[in-house]
Amino acid sequence: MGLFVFMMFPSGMQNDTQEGLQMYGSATLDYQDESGNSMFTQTVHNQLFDRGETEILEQVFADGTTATIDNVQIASMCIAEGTPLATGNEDQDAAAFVTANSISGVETNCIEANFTINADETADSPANVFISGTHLVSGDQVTSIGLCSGEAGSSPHAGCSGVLFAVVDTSDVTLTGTESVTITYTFDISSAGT
Amino acid sequence: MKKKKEKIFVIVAAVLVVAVFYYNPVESNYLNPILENFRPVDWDEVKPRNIVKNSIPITLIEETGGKCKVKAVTFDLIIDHQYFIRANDLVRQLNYDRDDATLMLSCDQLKGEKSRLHVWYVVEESEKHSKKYDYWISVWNSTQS
Repeated sequence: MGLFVFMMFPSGMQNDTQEGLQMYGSATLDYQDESGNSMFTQTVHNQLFDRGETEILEQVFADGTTATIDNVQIASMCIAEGTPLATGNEDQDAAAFVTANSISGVETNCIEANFTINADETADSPANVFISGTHLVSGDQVTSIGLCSGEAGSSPHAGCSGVLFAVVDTSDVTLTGTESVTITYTFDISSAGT
Repeated sequence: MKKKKEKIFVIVAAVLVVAVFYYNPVESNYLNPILENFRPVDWDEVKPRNIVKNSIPITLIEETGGKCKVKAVTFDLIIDHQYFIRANDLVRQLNYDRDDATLMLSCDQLKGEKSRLHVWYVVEESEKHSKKYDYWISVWNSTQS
């Protein structure tokens, strides 16, 4: 009985849904067959990388250098095949993402487009459609998604350059024929209660 | 007399246990993590970033005595993700046959010849409901993810 009484004491452990700043990104992937039928949808969170976190700070706070202009801000969504960059190894960069990417037809694996900044402190990418035979070779797999700097409006384009902001580890989706994946990314920096 | 005292002790202890389960006055205590294992997932208690949401089409193949076999050609995309720690539990629960890509469900769960199977699970690093999952079936043309 004493044990039960003890277990009722406050433990000091935090609730998971505490108020305050939350900052996370997530991607929603919709895999469609050649007829456009939805075969699988998934929403999964990302891993933010150090350079991406620094990018946020540099954009907000004056540090004596010129702010990044639109054409090199985060604007590119790149699909990748192979083992996603390691969780917990957040100092990896865009070059590491490109090296780890075994996708064929690598010239056009990235789509660049402007994000929408919303009043609820979120940023949404458009719904980017990656098509087998166009953005990757038939038979390639999409195993992760990288969010990278833009390339001055060139789309689609190759690789991931500039800043590797975040990576989303998705299910391994193999595309054949003219199958496609439609991917949207949302970054949420809202703060509940403040 | 001794037996009577023991009975009183057991009754008082039982009342305390019931009170703990029902009233649990302190939000964060040492008992909660243990109790949480026996509670179903309360999705409102889990941060959105700690939830992976999946949905796939399922198609009825055959019905036998209230149990329905359905085709689920992309179910492997859900269970093979590294974040889904307890995927094998769901595989057993739904009698998944990987070779045939089929599942067994209770027929009254289905919403027609074609339905949408939703599987949500909590990632391991979540402070609440870690590694738990849930599944349900909706009408195929539902856009809820």
